[in-house]
Amino acid sequence: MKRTTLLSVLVCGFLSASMPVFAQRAAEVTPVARDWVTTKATVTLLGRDDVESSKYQEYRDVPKGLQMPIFSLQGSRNGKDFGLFGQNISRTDQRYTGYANAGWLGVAFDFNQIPHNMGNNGHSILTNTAPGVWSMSPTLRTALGTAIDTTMPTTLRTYPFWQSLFAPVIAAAGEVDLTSLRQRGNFEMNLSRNLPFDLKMTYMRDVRSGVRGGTGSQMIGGVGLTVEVAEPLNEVTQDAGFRFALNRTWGNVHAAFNHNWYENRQETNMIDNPYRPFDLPFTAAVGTTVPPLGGVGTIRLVGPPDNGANTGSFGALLKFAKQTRITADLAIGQWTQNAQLYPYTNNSTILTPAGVRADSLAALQVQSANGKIITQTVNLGFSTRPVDGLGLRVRYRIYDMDNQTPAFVRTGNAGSNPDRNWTVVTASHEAPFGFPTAAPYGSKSARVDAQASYDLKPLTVEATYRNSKLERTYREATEGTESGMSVAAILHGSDMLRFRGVFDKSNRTATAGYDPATSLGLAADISERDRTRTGLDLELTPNDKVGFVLSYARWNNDYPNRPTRRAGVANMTNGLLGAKYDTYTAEIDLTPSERVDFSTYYTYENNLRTTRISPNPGAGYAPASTPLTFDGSEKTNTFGVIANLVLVPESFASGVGKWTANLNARRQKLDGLMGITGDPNGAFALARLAYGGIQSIGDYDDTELLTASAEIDYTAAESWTVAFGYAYEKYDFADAFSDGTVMNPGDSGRVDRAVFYLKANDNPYRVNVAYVKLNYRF
Amino acid sequence: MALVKTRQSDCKEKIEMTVSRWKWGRTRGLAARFFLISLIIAWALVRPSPAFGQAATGSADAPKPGYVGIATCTNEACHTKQAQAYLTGPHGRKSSDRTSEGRMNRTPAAADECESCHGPGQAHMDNPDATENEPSIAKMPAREANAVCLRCHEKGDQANFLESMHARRNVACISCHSMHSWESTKALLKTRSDADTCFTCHKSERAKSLRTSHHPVREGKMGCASCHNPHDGSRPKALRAESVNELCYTCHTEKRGPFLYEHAAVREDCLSCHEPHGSNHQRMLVSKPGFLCQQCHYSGHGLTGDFANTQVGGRPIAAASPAGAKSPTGATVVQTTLSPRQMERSCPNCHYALHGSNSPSGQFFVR
Repeated sequence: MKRTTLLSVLVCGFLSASMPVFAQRAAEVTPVARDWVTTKATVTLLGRDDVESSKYQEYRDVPKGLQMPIFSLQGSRNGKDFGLFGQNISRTDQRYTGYANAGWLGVAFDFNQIPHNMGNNGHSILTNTAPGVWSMSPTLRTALGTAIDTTMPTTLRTYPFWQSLFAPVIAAAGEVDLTSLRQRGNFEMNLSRNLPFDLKMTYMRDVRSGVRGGTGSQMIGGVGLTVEVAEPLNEVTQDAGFRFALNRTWGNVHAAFNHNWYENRQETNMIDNPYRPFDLPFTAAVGTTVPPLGGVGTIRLVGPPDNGANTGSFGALLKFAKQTRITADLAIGQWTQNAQLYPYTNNSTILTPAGVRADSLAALQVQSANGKIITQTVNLGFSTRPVDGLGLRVRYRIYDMDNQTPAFVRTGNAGSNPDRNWTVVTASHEAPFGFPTAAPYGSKSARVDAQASYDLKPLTVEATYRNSKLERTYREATEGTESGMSVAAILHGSDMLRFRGVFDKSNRTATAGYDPATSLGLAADISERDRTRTGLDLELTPNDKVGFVLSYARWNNDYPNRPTRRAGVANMTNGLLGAKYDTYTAEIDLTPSERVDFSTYYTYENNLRTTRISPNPGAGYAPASTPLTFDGSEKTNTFGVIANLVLVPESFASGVGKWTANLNARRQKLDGLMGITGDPNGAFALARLAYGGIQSIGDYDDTELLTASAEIDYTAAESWTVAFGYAYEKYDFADAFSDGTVMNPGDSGRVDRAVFYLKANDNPYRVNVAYVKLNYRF
Repeated sequence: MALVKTRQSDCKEKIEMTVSRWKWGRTRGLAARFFLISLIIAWALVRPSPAFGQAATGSADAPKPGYVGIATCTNEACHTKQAQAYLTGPHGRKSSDRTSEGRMNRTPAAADECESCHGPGQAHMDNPDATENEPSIAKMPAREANAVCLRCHEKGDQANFLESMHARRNVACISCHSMHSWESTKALLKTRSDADTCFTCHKSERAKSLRTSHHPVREGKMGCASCHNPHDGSRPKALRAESVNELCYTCHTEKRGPFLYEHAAVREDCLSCHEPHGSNHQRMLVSKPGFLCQQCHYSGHGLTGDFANTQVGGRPIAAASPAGAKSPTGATVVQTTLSPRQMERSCPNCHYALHGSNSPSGQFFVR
C-alpha cells in the first residue's frame, strides 16, 4: 500500500468517523470520566532540499510530501483499556506500540524499525550476482592478472601502473547504497490479573537486512590488500522468556528465564579476486624483484556464526523496618556456538602437510568450535537506615565468565599468508595453543562495597569504599585488584540552592601471571591504572522566574608502569599512558512571564588520550630509542537554546485562537588534534627532515553539527492546531585519513598491492526543511 | 531500499538487490496494514455506547473515615485537571481494575484513588487554605515522597531502588515522573523522551549524544532506559544486564560467540574500545583506529613505522607514486596519512573480524 494511500485512508476514515462522536461527547462527558477514548493525529506536509549524503538520514527517514508522524488512540471502558501509538507511519523509521488489558489477560507490543544508512552511491568494481556473491568477468580478471604477472620487475608496478590498468574497470563500476534496516518486535503477555503472583511471557524478534560495507578480504596473498564490498545482512535474533514474581508486604521472590538464538542467514560472502582469475600455487620470492606468488581466485569471507544463549535468574527481596532491605540474586547464563566450520581456505592449490586439500572440510582439526561460556552472577545487598539520618549499605557481587570452549593446539592453517600457502604452527610459552587468540579467555571479578551516608539536615554526606578481586584465564595478567573510595556531599534542602560534589579515587593492579622481562607487556585494559573522578554541580533558583546551573566533571586515568618493550632502553614506555576528560556546563532558565519560557546551555569538553609508540628499528623506520608520543585531543563546544513564546493567548470563548512560537537551536563543534611529538634530533625526525619532520595531524575527525528550527503554532480550538515550521541542519566532518581520497588509492608502500574502497557518500551536508503540520486531538 | 546501480557506459540501470528475504517495501506495507487493522479493532472495542461517558462517582467502596473520595476532590473543579490525568494514566486504569464484588484486584493501594498517594483528605477539605493540610507530595522530602511510590512500586524494575545511586543521592521519583502532567508515552516522564529526562542532570552524556557516531537516541529509536535501569541499585552503572558485554549482546547478538579465535579485550569488556554515549570517531570508538589499536598493540604492525604515522612525515618511499588524490605527484613521495592502510577503517580494513573469528584461518581476525 502506498504511503499516500494509507495516509489518506487513515486520515479520512478516522476523522470522518470521529466527528459525530466528538460532538456527542462534548455534550455528554463530564469532566472526569472513567470511560474515555482519546485520539491524536498529526499530518505533515514537508518539503526539503535534496541531500546526497546518507548521513542526514543515518537513523531516520525524512521523506518529502504528505506523512503522518504521530497517531495515537487510547481508551478505557468497563475496566478494559487499550492504547495504540504509531510514529512515522509507513516510513522506514516507523514504530508502533500498544497495549490492551481485558479480563485475565494483558498484552503489549512494540514494533520498531531502525534504518541505518551508512553511505550512498558507493562504487563497486564487482557485480552482485547472487546474495553474498560478488563477481567479475573471468575474461577481465585474466587480462588484469596477466598484465600484473608480466610486469616485471615489481618496481614497475607503480601507482600509475595500477591506475592505468584499472581505469576502465573503475569507469564501469556499479553504484550501491549502503543501507540496512533493523526490525525489532517485542511482545509481552501478562497473565497476572487473576493469579496470586505476577507472570509475564515475552517474545522478541529482531531482523536485520540490507547491506553494509565489508572488508577483511584475504587478498593479501600476493595480490591485494583488501576489496570492500557491499556485504548483505540477513540476521535474525529471537528471544522467548518468562518473568515471575511473588510480591508481598514482606518482600518478593522472583525468577526469569530467557532463551535467545541468533541466526546468520548470510554467513559467507564469495568475492572474485580482481587481481587473480584462478587459484595459483605458492612460489617463493626470487631475489628482490620477483615477489612471492600464489593466491586465491575467489575469496570466502566468513561472518559470525549462529549462536544461542540461555539465561536464568532467581532472587528475593526481604523488607524489614527502618527501610532495611536484604536482596539476593543469582543469574546463570550459557552461551553456545557450535556451527560447522568452513574450510581453511578457498584456494584449491593449498595442501596440508598430510597432503589433504586445505579447501576441504576433511583438513580441519575440528569440525566446529563447540564454544561454550558459562556466566554466573551473584548479587547480595543489605541496606538500612537504623537511625534517623543514617544510611548504611553493603553489597557483594561476583561475576564469573567461565569460557569452557575446548582448547586445542593449532597445528597450522592458511591464515598467516591468507589463502596463499600453508603455515605450520607450533605452540609457545606466549601462545600455548598455537596463537594467542586461540586461548579461551575467561575472567572473574568479586567486588564488595560498603557505604555510609548521614543527613545533616539539608546536607547529605556519603563515603564509600570498594574492593574488587580480578582473575583472568589466558591473559597476561591473571590476577589483579581494583580498590577505591569516594566521598560525596549533596545539599538538597531548598529549591533555591542545590549542590552536589563527588570525589572518587581508585587504583587497579595487575599482580601476577606474566614476566615483565620477556613479555611484551600488558594490554591497556588490564594494566595498572590510577583513576580519579570529580564532579561538582550547583543549582541556583532565586525565584520561579530564573534558574542557573553550573556543572563540572573531571575523569582522569593514568596508566603507570607501562611496558618497556626492549630491555636496556630507558624511559621507553609503550601503549596508552593516560586518558583525561574535563567538562564544564552552564545553564540558564528564564521564565519572565507565563508567555515566555527560555533556556540555554553551554558545555565545553576536553578529551585527551596519550599513547607512546616506539617504532621498530630498521631501514626507513625509527630506531627503538626514538619513541613518538601521540596526544589525541578533542575540544568540544556545545551550545543549545530553546525558547517557547505565547504570542497570542487563547480565548476560545471569544473565538480567538492561540498563537505560540517555538525556537530550538543547538550546535556542537569538535576540534580534534593528534599531536605527535618526538626527539627532533632523533633518527626518526632526521630521516623525514625533507618531508617536514614529525608533524601533528590536524583534521582528527573534526565535526560540526548545527540544527536550528522555528515553528509557529496556531491552536484554533482545543482539538486543532496548525503549525508552520522551518529547520536548517548543517553537518561537517574532516578526517585527514580519508578526505579527498579515491576508491582505488593504491598503496605507495607496497607496489604489489592495491585496494578498493566503496567510498560511499556519508559526507557533510546542508539542508533546509519547511513543513506545515496539522494536529488533531479529541 | 537497498539498491545496486550498475553503470555501463553512460547508461544507469537500477536493479533491486535480492540480498534479503525481507522486502522492505512489503514489510513497511504489512506493518502499516497491521496498524490500520489494529486501529479498526480497537475502535470497535471502545465505540460509543450507553455506558460511555460515565462520570466518576468515587470508588465502589465508601470512603474510609478521614478520606473523602475522588468525587470530592473534583468538586467545584478544584482538582479536575489532575483527576482527569490520573484516570487516563496507568494509575487510573488500575483503579478500574475491580472484581465484580468491587474489590481492587491487583493494586490494593489504588482503592483510595487520589488519597492512595496523597493521604486522607478530610483535613484539607475542612480547611482548604491551611498549607499544613495540603496533601502535596511535591513538598515532601525526597525520601518521604519516594516511600509513597515504593509502597506499590518496590518490585520489578524498582525492586532495588532504595539501593540505587538516585535514591541515595536524594533524587525523588517526582523529579523525573509526573503523575498529572506527563509528556512521554511511557513511564509518565516529565519530558517527551527518557533521554531528555536523564540529560537534565547527566550533561556530559547530553553533549556526547550529539556526536557524529552515536546510538539512535536523538532520533528517538532507543533511549537511555534501553540500556540502563535508573531504579536499580544492584548492578554497576544500573545496567539492564549482568555485565556490559551481556547488555551489548542483547542487540549485537552476532558478537556473542564464543568464537574459534577470541580477542581478549573484546571478550572482557566492550568499553575497552567503545564509548556508547557517542564519539566523533567511527563506530563509537574511544579513539581513532589504528591509534586506538596502538594502545595495546605495540608489537607487529604497531611498530613497523607504517603506523607510527604523522601528517607528512611517514616512511619515505622511493619511486612510488601518490598515495591519494591529495598527495603531491613528485617522483619521491612519503607515506602520508593517506596510506590506504590508515584510511577508512584503518587496521580493521584487514582485521575486520575484531570481535572474534570463526574462520579456521582467522587467528589475526582477517576473514
